[in-house]
Amino acid sequence: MAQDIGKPVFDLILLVASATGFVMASQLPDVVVLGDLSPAFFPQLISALVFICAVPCLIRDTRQWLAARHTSASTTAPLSTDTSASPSAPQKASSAPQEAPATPSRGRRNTLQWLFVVAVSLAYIVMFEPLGYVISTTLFCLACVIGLWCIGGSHKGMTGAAMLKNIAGYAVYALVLAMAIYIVFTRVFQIPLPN
Amino acid sequence: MISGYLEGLGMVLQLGTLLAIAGGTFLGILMGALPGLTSAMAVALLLPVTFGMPPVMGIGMMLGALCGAGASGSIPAILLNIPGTPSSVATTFDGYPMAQKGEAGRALGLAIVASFVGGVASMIILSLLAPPIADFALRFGAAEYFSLSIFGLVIIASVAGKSLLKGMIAGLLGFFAATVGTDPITGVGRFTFNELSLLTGINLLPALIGLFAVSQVLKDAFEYDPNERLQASTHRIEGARPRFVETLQNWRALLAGILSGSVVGPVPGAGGSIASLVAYDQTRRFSKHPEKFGTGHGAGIVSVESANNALLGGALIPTLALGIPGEAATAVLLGGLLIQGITPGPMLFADQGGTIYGIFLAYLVANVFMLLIMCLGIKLFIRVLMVPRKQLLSAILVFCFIGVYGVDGDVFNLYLMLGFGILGYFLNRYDFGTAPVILGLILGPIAESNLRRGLQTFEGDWTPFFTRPISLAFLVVALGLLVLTLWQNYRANRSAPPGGAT
Repeated sequence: MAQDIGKPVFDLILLVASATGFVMASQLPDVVVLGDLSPAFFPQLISALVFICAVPCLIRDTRQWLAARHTSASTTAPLSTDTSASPSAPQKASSAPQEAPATPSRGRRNTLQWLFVVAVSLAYIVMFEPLGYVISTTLFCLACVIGLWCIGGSHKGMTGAAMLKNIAGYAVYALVLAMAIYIVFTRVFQIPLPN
Repeated sequence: MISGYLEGLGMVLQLGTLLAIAGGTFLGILMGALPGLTSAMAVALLLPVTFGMPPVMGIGMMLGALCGAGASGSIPAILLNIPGTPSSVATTFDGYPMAQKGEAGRALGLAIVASFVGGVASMIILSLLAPPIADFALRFGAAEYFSLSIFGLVIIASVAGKSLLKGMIAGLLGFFAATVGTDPITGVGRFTFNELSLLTGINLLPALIGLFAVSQVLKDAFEYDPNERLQASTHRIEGARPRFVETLQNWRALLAGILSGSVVGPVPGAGGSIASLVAYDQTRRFSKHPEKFGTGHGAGIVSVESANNALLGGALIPTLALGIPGEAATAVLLGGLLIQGITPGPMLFADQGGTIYGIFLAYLVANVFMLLIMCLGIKLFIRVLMVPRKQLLSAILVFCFIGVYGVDGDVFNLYLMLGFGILGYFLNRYDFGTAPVILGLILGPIAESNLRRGLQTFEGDWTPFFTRPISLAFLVVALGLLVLTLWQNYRANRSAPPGGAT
C-alpha cells in the first residue's frame, strides 16, 4: 500500500510544476488598472500555495515509502530492485509480503494495460480527423479489446481457430459499436462527426 | 410561486423533455449498477448530449442519471454482495443476506421503493429550502461572492481528499487551470501558448469528462483482470415488484434515511457513503430488534436506500441556490449548468423563476421514471453486469471522445480531455481526489473576478472583504474549518503508530 514510488514522485512533480508556474506567471505583462491586482497575482499566489502545500506531502510520502521499502526489503529482498520506475509504474511490489511471486508480474501487466490504453487513445486522437469517424473508431475499439485480451493473457492456450473466432467477434463488436454511436449522435442528437 | 410551478410544469410535460429524463434515468441506472462506474461519470457522459437542449430538458436528463445511479447501486449489492456505487456499501449488510435466504426479489422491491420515497421527500425539502436560501444570497455583492467561493473551496478541500493538504492542492490545481485564457479584467492572455483554443480558457467539458470519466476508465484499464469475472447471480428475482406497504411499515428506517440524507447532503464534500452509514447506524440504534440487522432485515435496506436518494436533493440545495456543489456528481452537474449558460445561484431563482421550478419538477419526474424503469427492467440490468469489461471500457472511451469532439469539432479539446484524464487518474490514485479540481475550476474565476472587481470598486481597499458581515462570516467559518481539519489531521497522525500508513 505505502510502497509506491509514484506517490513521492508525483509530489516532486507538483513542486517542479508549481515553481515553473510561478516563474511563467511572473513573466506576464503587468497591466494595472486603478485598485486592481495585476493579471499575474492569482497565478503566482496559487503556485506559491501549491508549492507550500506540496513540501510536507513530499516529506511525508517519502518517509512512508522509505519505511515500507525497509520493512518489505527485510522480508522479501529481491523485490526492491525495480523500484526506480516512473510514476506510471505503480504498485510493483505493493502487496509484496503476502503474495511475493505473483505480484511483480501482475503489477507489470497492470502498468502495461494502462500504458496501452493511453497510447491507443492518443493514436485515436491523431487519426480521428484524417481517417474519419467510422474507420478510426472501429480500429480504436478493436485495438483496445484485442490489446487488453492479449496483455491479459486470455489468448494463451487457445487453438488458432478459436483465436480467430474470438478476433472476428471483437471486430464485429467494434464495427457495430462504432456504427451505433454514429447513428445515435448524428441522427438522434444531430451532432456532426467527420467522415 | 404557484405561477412558477405552473410555468415549470409546462416545461417538463413535453414529450422531448420526458424522453430525455427517461433516457438519463436509464443511463444512470446502468452506470450505478456497474461496479466501478459512478454517478459523476454518468452525468459527465451526458454533458455533450445535453448541450443543445433547452435548460430544463438537459438538466432533467442529468438529474435522471443522478437519480437512477443513486438507486441502482443496490442491484449488485443485493444480488452479488458487490456495491455498485460507494453509497450502496451499506445495502450489502442486509440486502445480500436477504437474497441468500431466497428473498432477492423482496430486497430489490424494498430498495426500489425506499429510493423512490427518499428521492421524493428530498425533492420536497429541496423545493422548500432552496428558494429562501437563494433569496438571502441575493444580497451578496462582490465581497460576499469572493468569500463564498473561498469558503466552498476550503470546505471541499478539507473533506474530499484523504488529507487537507492534498485536497487543497487539488483545489488549487483547478484554480490554476481556471486562470488559463484571457484575463477577465485586463484582457491579457495568460498561459495560452498561442493556442487558439485556450484563448477563452480551458473548456469545462473536456476537463469534466477527463477528470470523471476518462480517469475512471484508466483506473479500470489498470485493474483489468480477465480472470475476475462477475459470477452470474443464482438468486431468484421473480418477486421484484415494488413493495410499498412493507417499505412504509418500516417508517422509522425511512425517516432516519431521509433525515440523514437531507442533513448530510448539503454539506459540501460529505458524500453518499457517509449519509447511508449514518442512516443505517441510527436505524439500528433506535430499532426494537437491533440484533436482526445484518441478517437480512428489511429496515436496514430501507434506511440505506432512502438515505442514498434523499442525499441527492440535499446536495442540490447549495448547488442550485449558491452555486456550491455538495459532492462530486453535483459538481459535474454544476459544470453542466455552466456549459448550458445557466449560472447557478440566487440570480437563477430571481431571473428565471419558471426554469428553477421546472428543475424541481423534473427531479420529481426522474424519481417516478426511476421507479418504473427499475421495476420493469430489473432483469436487463442484471444482464448488463455480465458485459465483459474490455468491451465496456472501449465503448465508454469512444463515447467520451465523440462527446467532446461533437460539441465544437476541436481536436485540441480531445488532447485536453486525455490530459485531464491522466491527471485525474494520478490524483485519485495518490489520494488528492478529483472533486476539488472541478470546484477550483468553477469557483476560481468567481473568486478572482469578484475580488478584483471588488478591489476596483473599493479603490484598492481590502478592508470591506473583512468588515462586511456576511463576507466576514464565510471567511471566519472557512478559517475555522481549516484549523479544525489541520488539528484533526495532526491528532490522527500523532495517535497513528510510528512509521505506519496514513
